[in-house]
Amino acid sequence: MTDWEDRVVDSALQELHGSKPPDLSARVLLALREAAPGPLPRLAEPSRRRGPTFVRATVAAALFAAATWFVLDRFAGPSAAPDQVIAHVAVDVAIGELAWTPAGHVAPALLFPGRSSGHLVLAPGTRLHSEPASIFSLGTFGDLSTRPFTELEVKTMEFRKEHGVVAATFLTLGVVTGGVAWQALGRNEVATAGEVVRLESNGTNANAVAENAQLKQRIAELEQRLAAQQSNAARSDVTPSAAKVQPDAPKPATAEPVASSMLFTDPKYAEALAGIDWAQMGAVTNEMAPLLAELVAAMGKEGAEVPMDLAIKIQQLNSKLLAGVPTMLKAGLPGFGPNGTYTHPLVVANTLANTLAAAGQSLTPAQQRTLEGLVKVFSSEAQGIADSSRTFSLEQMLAETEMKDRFFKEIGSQLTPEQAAAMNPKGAGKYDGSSLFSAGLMTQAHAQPIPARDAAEFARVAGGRIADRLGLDEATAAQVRTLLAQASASPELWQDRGDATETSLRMMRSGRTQAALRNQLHWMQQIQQQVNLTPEQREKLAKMNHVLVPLPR
Amino acid sequence: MTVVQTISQDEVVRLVQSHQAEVWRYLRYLGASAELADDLTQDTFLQLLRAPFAVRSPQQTAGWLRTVARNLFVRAFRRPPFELAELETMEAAWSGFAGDDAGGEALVRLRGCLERLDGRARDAVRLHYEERRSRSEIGAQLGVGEDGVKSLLRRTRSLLRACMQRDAEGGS
Repeated sequence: MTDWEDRVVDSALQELHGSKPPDLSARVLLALREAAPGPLPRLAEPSRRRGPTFVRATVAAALFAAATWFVLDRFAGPSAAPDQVIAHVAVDVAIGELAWTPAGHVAPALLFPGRSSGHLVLAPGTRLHSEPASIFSLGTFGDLSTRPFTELEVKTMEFRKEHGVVAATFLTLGVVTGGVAWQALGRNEVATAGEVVRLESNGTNANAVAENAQLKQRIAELEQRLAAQQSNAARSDVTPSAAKVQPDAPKPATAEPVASSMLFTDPKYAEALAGIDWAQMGAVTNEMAPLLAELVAAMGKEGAEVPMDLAIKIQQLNSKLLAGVPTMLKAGLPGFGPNGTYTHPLVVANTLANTLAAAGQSLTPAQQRTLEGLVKVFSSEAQGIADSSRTFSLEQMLAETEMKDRFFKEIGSQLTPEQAAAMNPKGAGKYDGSSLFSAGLMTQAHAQPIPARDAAEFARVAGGRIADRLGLDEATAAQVRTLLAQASASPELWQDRGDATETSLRMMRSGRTQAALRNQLHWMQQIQQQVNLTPEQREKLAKMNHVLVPLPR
Repeated sequence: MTVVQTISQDEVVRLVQSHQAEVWRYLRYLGASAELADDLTQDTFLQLLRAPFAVRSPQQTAGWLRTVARNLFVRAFRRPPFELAELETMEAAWSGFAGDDAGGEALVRLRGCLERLDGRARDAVRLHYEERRSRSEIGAQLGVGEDGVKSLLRRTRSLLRACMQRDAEGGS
């Protein structure tokens, strides 16, 4: 019996012996009449819907810019009021994680793991949680560092409207638990539980308007280029011999000169990949790789805490790497999630070639030819994995990580010791996410560690999450918990206790998440076969894309 | 626009009366005194009634109220009274008890199990919960130390919980 199970019986016994819930309806009515209504500020914005041009501009902003942008919209969450003003904010998590719970929801709806980015919606009542110490940026509001087990709640948002764009100028976050430090514009604020932190945007509406204009122009250019390419492709169909593209002869950049050093390509993706500044990707990777190894080494020391200066530096470099990801995603490179695309053989090979060049250890022509062959073989395998149909989404992830493990091994075997050290500095790769050339980048993005003493405790917590996600009743949830406890008893999952790097940074020891993933696929199959689920619940189970990783404590 | 302006007084009363027992019990479970649970339950409903109107199922409303109640309870302390890491365990234990009727059935089962309790366990429950005796007084009466009383009460609660589970499984 856990302490909380004990407490629930204790409070029930107290109730049976006199401490009973009173009828508070009269008190509530009285308080409603006496107090000023509305603890949350509301904007007196008109209830107009924005036209399609505005929508396109904001979508463009989401695709091309890591800016903060705001729209008047109807919030999809259950607690939203029509015409409530909300903020769409770019989020970039460098270290740790960030869970997002929309206003009025009980459980987090989105989880951004370390080194991931995306967008989320903020409204009064929205909550942001991070269990490990985390560092993330919120659009134009700058960087926030949180202590372990921090929960923030959006209290107020202040807006200004210019030129048809509603932009937030201030965001006030209440600290429910833990603590947070905000850094932007050379300012610092620290708040702990019970206090608030007031963030000021460093972007202006004029900037947003100008940015939207630039983005629209960029879309128009890309659309023109796409139309020209489609036109050329149509002509090439008539003259097949002209359609052959030399894979080792990348097309020169078209309209805009881009500082690209793309050595490996594929006709299917050449146009899009040519738009990535591979030289910068290589330079940043070369600078970031030893810092990641340093971070892991620092966390390996007794009683270590996350070295914030180092973590912030890594975050800044990571932001530069992320700049190329939207292009990769838009190109349609197959992969399980953004990190799956980022570890596609074509991306890896080009990044590696430029990383080695930045380290003064360029690939030789012979190595280039060998790598080119490897890229073709493994790219074809990646496409095959993406095209296969499977019962569970996570089966694709397992197939992809296994394929990429082999790919990285093959590449490593072609390098000199000096090149291999530039690719993976000493200490990198011991933890998922500590090497930029490892399938661990993929597994880290989808791992949800669950600290537990044994399979029973893991089953209780993981079962609760699954029950919430699938919407199971108590009897079905109990059945799932039993299956989980039986399937998760393998000693392989419980032999190494979680260390500081795993608990504080959420970077799992290499191999731990893969082992958990194999085990998870096993119990997911058992649930599918043995538990009476509705078709909707079956679909939700099949689409699960997070790995619940037992983290022995 | 707030709910106060759109729903009648009777509807507010119905809403409060249908959820107040669970919110209050939940706050007591978290460790709030009876007085604090009264105040926070009231504030929880005020937050719900002043928040932008939203259509929610009874389960969603109950979940929303628990979250607000928990946040208000946490804010009542200078330091968080529990770690967020405990949240899932805490919620799992509460859901297991509360079920679909805010714990009504569980209380009936607990009463039945209490009646079957005998010996020192029954005495300990009577002295602690009914007569509100201190641990030292209970210890003196039962011939054990204060730690012994603590262990005895915990073992008794564990027995009662097991009994409630058996009854629930037998009845389902």
